[in-house]
Amino acid sequence: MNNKLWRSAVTVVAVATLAASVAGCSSGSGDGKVTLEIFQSKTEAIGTVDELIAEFTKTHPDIEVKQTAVQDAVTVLKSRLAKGDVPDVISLNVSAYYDMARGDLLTDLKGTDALDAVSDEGALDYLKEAGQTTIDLAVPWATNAQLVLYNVDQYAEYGLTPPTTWSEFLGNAKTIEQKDGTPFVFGWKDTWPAMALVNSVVASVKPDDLLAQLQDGDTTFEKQPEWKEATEAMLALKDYAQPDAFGADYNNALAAFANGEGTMYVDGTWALPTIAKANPDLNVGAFVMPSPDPAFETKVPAGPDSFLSISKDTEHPKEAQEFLDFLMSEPAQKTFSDEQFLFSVRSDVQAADPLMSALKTDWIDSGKTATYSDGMFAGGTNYQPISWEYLNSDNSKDYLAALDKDFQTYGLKPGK
Amino acid sequence: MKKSSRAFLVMALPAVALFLVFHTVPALQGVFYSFTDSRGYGSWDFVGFDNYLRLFQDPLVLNSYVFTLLFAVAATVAANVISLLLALGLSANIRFRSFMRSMYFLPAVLSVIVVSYIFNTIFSTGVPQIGKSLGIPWLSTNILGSEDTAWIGIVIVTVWKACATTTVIYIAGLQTIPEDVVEASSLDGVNSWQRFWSITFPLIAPFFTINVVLSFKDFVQVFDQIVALTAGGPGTATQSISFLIYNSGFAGGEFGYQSANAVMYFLVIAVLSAFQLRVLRRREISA
Repeated sequence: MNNKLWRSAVTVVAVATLAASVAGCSSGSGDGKVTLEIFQSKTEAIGTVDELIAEFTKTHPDIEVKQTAVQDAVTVLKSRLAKGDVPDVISLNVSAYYDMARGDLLTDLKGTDALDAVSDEGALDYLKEAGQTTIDLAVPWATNAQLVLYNVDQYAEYGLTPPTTWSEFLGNAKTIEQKDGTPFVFGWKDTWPAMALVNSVVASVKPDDLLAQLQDGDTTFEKQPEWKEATEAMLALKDYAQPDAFGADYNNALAAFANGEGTMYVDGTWALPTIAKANPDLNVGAFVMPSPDPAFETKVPAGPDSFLSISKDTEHPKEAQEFLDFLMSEPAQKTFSDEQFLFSVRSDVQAADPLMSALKTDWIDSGKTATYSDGMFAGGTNYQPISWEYLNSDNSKDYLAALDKDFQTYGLKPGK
Repeated sequence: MKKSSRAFLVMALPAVALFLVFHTVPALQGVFYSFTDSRGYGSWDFVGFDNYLRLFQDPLVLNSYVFTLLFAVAATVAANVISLLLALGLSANIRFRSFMRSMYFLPAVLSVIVVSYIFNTIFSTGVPQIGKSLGIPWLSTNILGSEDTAWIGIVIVTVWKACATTTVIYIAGLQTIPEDVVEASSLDGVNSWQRFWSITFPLIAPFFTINVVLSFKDFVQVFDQIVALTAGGPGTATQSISFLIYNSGFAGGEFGYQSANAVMYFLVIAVLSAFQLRVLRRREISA
């Protein structure tokens, strides 16, 4: 009896071990097909990426590409990396690039077709700054811009034209309010929209080399007169927000704008497909948020929307590179940028949408752009909650001090 | 005798092995990483006690401890008071008693994350609409949108969910009260308030202790509700300790630093549990 028990227990353990090892082996495919995984953070682009994958497998029948796109992608990817479960192709928001570059995880793309396809030098420079590295560990997939989106029909109804100065901007808001409209919808239950607003308002006035100045200790947020001035001007917009703007999250605000519950809404070009899906009949226009100080020329916050990279540990570097080269090819770039309302990084790809096309010629191509300011901080930063706290409290002094403190801990450290 | 003890050993071994592999080893790894500057991937260096020193100067970490402990106390009090009232009601001679009991147990079988997402919509859309139509200003805004009130929303969801099991334990406790004691008290002519304080409550005191200990332990580890309701916001007002460890440890790339935080968190829970166990034992002796 006892011996039997022993034996059956050993059998159970042995079977369990065997089952586990078989399960572990089954991921290697036996039919000669290579399976690649692309991990990407743009959940709104899942459909477009599936289309691109289908197009790619037409010419590469022996490669199967699996897409992983989840909410909270950076957290999910980093917890996967901690387990050693690394996807082959990784695409993330540029703000995650610094940590990835520092972690020695990505392949050098120098001399590849994918990298050579990029004609947008500004986007490449941006990546170098964001990663604090001169090595090309990633290519920009496409670029975007952050704008003030407006309801064209409501603007016509109120007899307004898109503003070009800050006072016209506030004037428009005032007119809308006097005519019992809602000038702005914001989603301030989340911290991201608060940050986006700060990024927009400081874009025109902050020095181009602010990051380098901060790194060298030449300036601080407290000493920087322009930053303070711009963010104080921003607080005026709170008076024109919808009721309970702090109770609406990002999705609520976007839906409210799409349903015509507010006239203006600050977001990036990437939000346009979601707005169109929520209300296909909405007539959306866009203008660049005017500089809060007339002494500074207005600039649009713009930069790479996400980066594409190949992990160093991939088992299929050749196939991964082929897929990357395909994503940067002209037809794939055209599909991706048109469907996602982004700007292609190839000069030979023109935007189909007139709004996008006009923005590209007037702002992006003429170089009137500024970087996203959250890009000066690494992953652990509290830039978002600090921005939110300021918007909530109006306390400029504490806000600037908190930014300086955060930069000391989380500001990008100069690369080697 | 010797033979059978070997059999028991064999039966116990798989559980011990699983616990060791999936619990003890990762915990020790966590302690190890708490002395490094690891991001959770890639290369890392030893930094000694730097992470621990930094913990005590980090306002975010201190805030998360204050928030979590206050939240746990508030939720424990609310959950136990409400559950006790429910249990008294559900043990009384009422109509549809078994149906009512199963209704009140329903939250226990639902997933926290689903419940939280539903409540998120109720707070952002449902309640404000009612508030507006009744013309009550404080009801017309999303309570999760303000630093001062967001914690209340989390307490409401947590208590709503936790009451189910706590109530069941109290009902079980109430059934252990001998009929004759209740009868004797009614012969002595006590009113129901006196009966509760002098008879019922002392007799179910062990159940009260176990409920307080268990619910407090659960609430100190609050995580899912925060993810679904506020994501630690507004600002950083509702960042619980476990949420901060997860979020900054992975998304923030501060794996080593947050591992140190996790070790501290473990020590805090260990001390609190030891304290509660002592209180529990003392009550058992005096009872």
